[in-house]
Amino acid sequence: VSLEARAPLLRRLLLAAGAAALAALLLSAFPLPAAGAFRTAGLALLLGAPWLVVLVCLGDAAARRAWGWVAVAAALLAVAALSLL
Amino acid sequence: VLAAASLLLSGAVAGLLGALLGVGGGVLVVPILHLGFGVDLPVAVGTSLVVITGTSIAGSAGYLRRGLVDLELALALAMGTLAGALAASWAAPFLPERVVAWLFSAVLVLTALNLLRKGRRGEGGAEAAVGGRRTAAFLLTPLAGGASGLLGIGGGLVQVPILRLLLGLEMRRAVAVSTLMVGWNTSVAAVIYLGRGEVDLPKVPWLLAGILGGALLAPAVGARLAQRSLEIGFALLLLYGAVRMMGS
Repeated sequence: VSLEARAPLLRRLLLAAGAAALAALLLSAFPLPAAGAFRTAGLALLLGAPWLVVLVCLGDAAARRAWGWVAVAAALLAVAALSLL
Repeated sequence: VLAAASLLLSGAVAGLLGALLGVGGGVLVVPILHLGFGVDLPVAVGTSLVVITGTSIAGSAGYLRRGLVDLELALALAMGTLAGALAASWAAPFLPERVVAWLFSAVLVLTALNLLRKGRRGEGGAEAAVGGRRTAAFLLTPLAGGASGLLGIGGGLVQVPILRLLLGLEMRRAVAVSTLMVGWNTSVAAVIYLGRGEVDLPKVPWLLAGILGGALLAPAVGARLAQRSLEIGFALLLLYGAVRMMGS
């Protein structure tokens, strides 16, 4: 099984996360009591969604024991985490 | 309400033109925010990065449906672009704003020239399928990430030529791989700009909704427009934007 076989799952994940992020961000634009929480959730979903692809690839590669791809995906996640410092 | 409506409309125009002409969102969002709404350049860059992450998600979902994304290639090249994005985002505050404005103007001029050349070389352009040059591609990809982190653009302007000319990908596959990688670059760069408080959060939802809406309308509107006139008109608008950015 190649990573490409995961494309339908990845597409659904991206669409779901993107739609949820947009909805939360739009709600945050209105003067609601939970506007701050919506904004935080929207941003987390939006900026986290691209990394779902890497996480799925990591899991898929681990299941296939493709350790080279596991290392690549793990390294990407580690480098991305540097932005949180 | 008026500000939200004007952001929504500006975003829709950017999304429509971006989708019709294959121009990345950041090339439009940064000038819209900086020149149109008077947002400081670093904040315009940070806000653009958040918005482009959203357009990358939507674009990637579409390309995945059409089976155009080479995930393994994207993963293999992403380390270079990520390193570039991180380094440029961290370095950005230490650069004079004028330098960033001039670099952005250069990007606008390059995009305009690309649009003007498109008509002369025909649809899609010449393919230079060389292949087997992953090392060179890997070494150059930090430039794409760097463009993201410093200028708030996706980096497709650099990434797509690398994918086409060094790795021999056909245009639509190169754009698909680049679109996915753009989301990784812009999201990490956006987190750094967010940490510095350089994102205009209230503007994000309206711009993002506008851009996505405009991109959805593109196929219906595009059929009624003369593509070449649109390209020339938009190239002139970009050149005007470049002059304004240099003087800002």
